[in-house]
Amino acid sequence: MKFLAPLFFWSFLSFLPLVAIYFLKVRPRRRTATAYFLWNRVFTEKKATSLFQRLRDLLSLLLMSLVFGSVCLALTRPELVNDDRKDLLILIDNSASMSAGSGSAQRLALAKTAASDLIKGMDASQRASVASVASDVSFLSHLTDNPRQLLDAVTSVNPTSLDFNRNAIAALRGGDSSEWMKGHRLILITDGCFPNGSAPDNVEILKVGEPLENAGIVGADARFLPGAGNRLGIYIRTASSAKETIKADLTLKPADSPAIGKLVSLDIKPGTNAGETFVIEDAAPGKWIASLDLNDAFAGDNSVSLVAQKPKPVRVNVQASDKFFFDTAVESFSSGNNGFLLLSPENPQLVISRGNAPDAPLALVFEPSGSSPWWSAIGEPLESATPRVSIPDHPILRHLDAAGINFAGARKITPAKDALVLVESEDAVPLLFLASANGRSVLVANMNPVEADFFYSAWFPVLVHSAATHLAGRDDSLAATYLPGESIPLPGVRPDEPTTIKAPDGSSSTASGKRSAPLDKPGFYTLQNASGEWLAAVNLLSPAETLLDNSAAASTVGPIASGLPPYLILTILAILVLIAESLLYHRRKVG
Amino acid sequence: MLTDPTFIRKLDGLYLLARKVLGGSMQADRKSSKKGSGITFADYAEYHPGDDFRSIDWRVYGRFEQLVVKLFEIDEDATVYILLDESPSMQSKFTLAKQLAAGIGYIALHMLDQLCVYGLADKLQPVLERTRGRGKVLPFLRGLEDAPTFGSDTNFTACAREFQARHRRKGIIVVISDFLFPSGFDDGLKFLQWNKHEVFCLQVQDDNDTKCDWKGDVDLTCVETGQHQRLTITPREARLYEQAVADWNDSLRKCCAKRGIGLASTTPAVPFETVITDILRRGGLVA
Repeated sequence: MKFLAPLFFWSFLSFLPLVAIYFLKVRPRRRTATAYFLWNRVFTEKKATSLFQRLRDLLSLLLMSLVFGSVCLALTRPELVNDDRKDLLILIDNSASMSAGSGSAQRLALAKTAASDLIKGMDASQRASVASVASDVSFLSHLTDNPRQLLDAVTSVNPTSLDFNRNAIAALRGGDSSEWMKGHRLILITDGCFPNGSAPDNVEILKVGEPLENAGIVGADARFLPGAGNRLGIYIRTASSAKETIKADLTLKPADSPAIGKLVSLDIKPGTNAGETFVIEDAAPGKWIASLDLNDAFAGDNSVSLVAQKPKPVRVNVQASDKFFFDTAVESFSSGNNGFLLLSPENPQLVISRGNAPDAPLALVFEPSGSSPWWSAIGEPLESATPRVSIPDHPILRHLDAAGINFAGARKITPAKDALVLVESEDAVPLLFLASANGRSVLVANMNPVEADFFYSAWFPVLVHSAATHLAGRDDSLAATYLPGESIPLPGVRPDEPTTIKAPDGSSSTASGKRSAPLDKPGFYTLQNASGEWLAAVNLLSPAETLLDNSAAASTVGPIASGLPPYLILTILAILVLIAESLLYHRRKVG
Repeated sequence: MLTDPTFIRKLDGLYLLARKVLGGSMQADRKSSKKGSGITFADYAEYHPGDDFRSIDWRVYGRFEQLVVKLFEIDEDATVYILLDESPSMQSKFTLAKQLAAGIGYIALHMLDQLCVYGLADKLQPVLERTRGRGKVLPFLRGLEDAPTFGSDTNFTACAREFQARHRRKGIIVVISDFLFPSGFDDGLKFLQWNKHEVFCLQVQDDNDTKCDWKGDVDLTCVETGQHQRLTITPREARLYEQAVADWNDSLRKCCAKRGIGLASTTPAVPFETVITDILRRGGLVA
């Protein structure tokens, strides 16, 4: 047994005055009787109770001592060592699969009912907190023993379209919260539909919901196929928790048009099916919807939103004497309809030059010379320019073997303040550096491409492409779909530029930087920034959330401490004994 | 104060009432049932040898030729004995008991009866030796006034025997007490009556004797012996005690009725003159 407030053991000292007061209290009043012999006659008939009367004072003292001892002990807040009366963290799974079912049989409704029952069954001293968990853990209440707060928190749990992330619970046990969590029991109220079928570790499971037959799309992609024409390939993978094969019609259609792109009859076998690709000739880029004609337990996985992304090429202009080589390098990435770069003398986004720095927002400069805000001094050529990569993970160097490039003709150079040196010589002379100022950016390659035979190097077009896409903010292109809870790249945006994100439900938010905040609503998103308008889509696409056969999962939750805590038992005991003593006292004093 | 003029005036009033009720104003006013040599003719009786010739009624002989003697009532002076309970149990009603004794004694002295007063407790203690005459009223009242409670018990039977040993002359014995004798009253009354005394019981009890208002734990102490014990008195015990006292008084009543002993009961709430007036109106100290 341990005591949460051992200082209250000092209260036992007050037992001494209690005994003194008690003995003063029980001294009877003195009365004289003129007919004493008649009193003797009356009490001769009551000899059987005389022993009790003699012991009664002692008994009363004993009872009062018991009352006092119980109160003092209760003040010390005793706790039984083996009592598993830890604080509870009630986690309610609100992932997409918890939306399966309907009405009161919906799994989330069942989970909320189970959580409410759990809270109502707790004893008065049991503390708990409530959190929802899907892709992440969201705390909905503080740690409290107030059932009303906990029930309100349970009521506030809403369904999501997110996949269940078992790592979110594992994270609770680690990091800064690990010590705090040692005193907690984690009770996860879930339908047991976990990724890979395995439950999170160190969590007690309280399973709700019965196995359900459901089929849905668990994998999807859309992209234009190489070659002539706008041939759109849409990849679809299905899964089913039904025991038999289900036949369903798959409809592929543009979201903004009533026309159907393709209608396919599918046989969805139990379990996860192999993916299939459907080609749509002459498809328009933009929003596409793939939907299964099913009426099953969970509707959220019967359709997916896909964006047929058509790349927007970066417009490039070359201002150099060796224009042929540079144009060739740019045009090598602009072939076909899916080009990433486009030679465009008018309104170029990026200018490639040799020698002087061009007056353009974005520039790639080879063999820098003259004065420029991007460098302060050009010195003598270097005798030896053995490259050393300073930032290997930089996007510009992602596809480059910078250490293998010949930087012949490099000269001593002092880059602008705050320039980012990607590659330098062994004498710390910048060979490839990136500088930004006043909304302009430039990548400087400190070499003579002719002397270095760089035009014939395989890394030349790669460097041009990497520089163009990075400087234009196109490091990551948008995919056809993303999973809920993922953050997506924001293309064409400069570091401090805002991007307005319009969600499927019409709400807007603003993001800055190159990636958005996690997007958790399924559907189409519209991204608007200085580089134009972009489309993105978010879809569930999770086998764990579609396969609703949870028969393999089982409840592992242990008994919740439902008895009264020791201090409350002691208090009640004290009250009961006090009542008994009061009756005795009343009988003694009033007769 | 028994010698207070106001109190004595009350006693005078009682005496006048006694004269009116009982009659007579001569010495030894109290008539005796005995026949003897008095002056008041009572009856005739057949002559027997040895009778006083002076009492032969010759007129009757002249008419009927039969010797009869005239009998006269004896006007004898009675002796009134007052046995006043002076045990500590009488403390709360001692004043009334003394007033009653004073009233009876006052009347007796004015009737020229002999009066003798004893204190009654674990032994007999004289308050006033046998005396007579109106001139003894004040000494009697002073003695009564100064009489304290005494003794550590009340033994009525022993006191009765001691009284009989001291006074063989028959008389009227007035016992003024609460009659709460641990050893009982029956033997004592029986003994006095067996010795030809006319006994009258005057019971004085107050609420302390007859009722119990205590509840709860008490250390109950005997007012006479000092014995004590710790008791818890519940309403049931209180009721049992009151019933026991009622039964005790009832047994006293039955005992007196059986033996032809006069009995009057009173409490301190009733003025003493009222008590004596009632006694007189019932015909005096008679059963």
